[in-house]
Amino acid sequence: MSSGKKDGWGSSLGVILAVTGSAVGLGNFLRFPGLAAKYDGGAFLIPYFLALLFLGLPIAWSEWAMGRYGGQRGFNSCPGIFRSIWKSPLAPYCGVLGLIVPVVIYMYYLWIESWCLGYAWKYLTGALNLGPEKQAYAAHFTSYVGLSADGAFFHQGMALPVVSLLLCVALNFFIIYRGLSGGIEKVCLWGMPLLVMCALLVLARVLTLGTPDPAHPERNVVGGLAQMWDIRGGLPGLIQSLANAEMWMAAAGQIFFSLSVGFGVVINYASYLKKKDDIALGSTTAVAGNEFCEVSLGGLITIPAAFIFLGAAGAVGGTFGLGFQTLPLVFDRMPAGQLFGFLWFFLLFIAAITSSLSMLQPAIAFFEEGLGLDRRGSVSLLGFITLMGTGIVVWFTKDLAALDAMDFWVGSFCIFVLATIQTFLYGWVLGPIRGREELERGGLLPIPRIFDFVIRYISPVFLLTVFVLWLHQSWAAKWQAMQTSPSVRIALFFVVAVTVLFLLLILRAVRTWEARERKTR
Amino acid sequence: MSLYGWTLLALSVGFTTGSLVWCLARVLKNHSRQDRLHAPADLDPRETDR
Repeated sequence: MSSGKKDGWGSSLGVILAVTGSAVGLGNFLRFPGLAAKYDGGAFLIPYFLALLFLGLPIAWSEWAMGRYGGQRGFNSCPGIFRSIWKSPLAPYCGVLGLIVPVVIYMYYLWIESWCLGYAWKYLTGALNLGPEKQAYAAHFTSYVGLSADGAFFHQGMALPVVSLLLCVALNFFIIYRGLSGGIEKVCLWGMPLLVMCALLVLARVLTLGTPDPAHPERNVVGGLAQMWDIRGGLPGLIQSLANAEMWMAAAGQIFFSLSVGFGVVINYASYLKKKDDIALGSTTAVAGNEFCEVSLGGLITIPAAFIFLGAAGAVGGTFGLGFQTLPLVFDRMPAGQLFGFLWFFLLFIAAITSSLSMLQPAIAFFEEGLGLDRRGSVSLLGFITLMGTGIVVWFTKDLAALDAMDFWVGSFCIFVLATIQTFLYGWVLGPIRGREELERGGLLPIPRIFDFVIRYISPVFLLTVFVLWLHQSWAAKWQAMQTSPSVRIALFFVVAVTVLFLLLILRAVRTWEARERKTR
Repeated sequence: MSLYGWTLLALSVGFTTGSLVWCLARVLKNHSRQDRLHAPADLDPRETDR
């Protein structure tokens, strides 16, 4: 139970924008369009929306309900909230995932955030006009990130990459130090509308490009939209695409990661709500906000823009390839590309910072309520831990080994485990009666009755099926990387050390909570 | 782009944009109602005298 002055949200709109800001990130604008283009365009959208209805939305509702349930019992961190729901002595230790997942993801996400800031600055100053060849942008990215060798990132000295990283560290901790309503909420209240405005400007530019290259009349706006949205091969093509299990897995994974469910963030944010605040409409609005950014903005910008200038072969790629190599080439060929390049990377930066801020708050809440630290102490301790982690990520840059390892084991594997635990806690421990009571108190939106059945049976089965398939597909390569790469082993050793540290801190926090409860009895 | 593509595009963009606009309208309506409840004009002077 927390002692001292309690932090909280200033308004219902503020918490909705903060949760939306946490969910909207690079994945909305780069990963989602990349996946849709890879899996036969429009066909991908069918499993995607089914996963939204049966996995994303139910888990989001349950996280909000559990968060406020714990918050009403004086807990804001995952270990405390889990303990208030589940009376088992194991409960708070399961909550360790709700601390290490956001903290470890922050360690590498911060670095990616600094790339967006650096690229936005380069566009603003005109330093990213590298000509019409893709290789120039690939070489620039390699040198900017230091992909060639471990430690190469620091060989640049106090150049833009290092300065923008330091600036991002300072910005994040300055904002988080100002608290929920004075820091995170204010940034999201301004940042999210600004992000949407930048995206709408870029979207308007893309949709009015026409046919910029007369030598390639097929590379036009409608062709670009078709690349992203069309169902290739008509109805038989659609049926064939839907038979691809890998596509179902990718769609469910995208929904899952995009909504930030299983991150430990939503549950923490919701714990600051008051007893009679609405959570049903708030959670649904946050999900709708994320989906709007992903489908209506990301889905209409990235792939169509890449197709119009580079054709079908250019409109594919992973998050980093598409975002930091392909799109800069697109902006080079686009009229007023420097301005739109700046807007694009600036919107990615806003999307990233509203997400990274949310990753710090769960651990801060735990330090405050579990260890009795004040805001300054919590921020300093977390700053020290995350700086060490970010240091490891930016030192072992060769092939992004440390980043990749942390992303797989924490940013994917642990998220699946945490989401499974949360689904179990809501559906089977808190139960549908108490859960619905929590969801409906102050609710401005009726939650369908079928949700009780979905969250108890369908969501866990859906989740575990995707988890097992995903693990089956990715396990071997990651396991091999761990055995052969020393940098991967160092990164994972650090993750294990942070986990052990948090487990010890939870042990101490539990003793404090028990002593306080004995005193109040 | 085929008719399937256009239909899917219209449904997806329409659904996500429409649901956000609908949800936001309800949030803002409730937000302004709450503001009115706490406006100074709504305070009963007899309550403040107590």
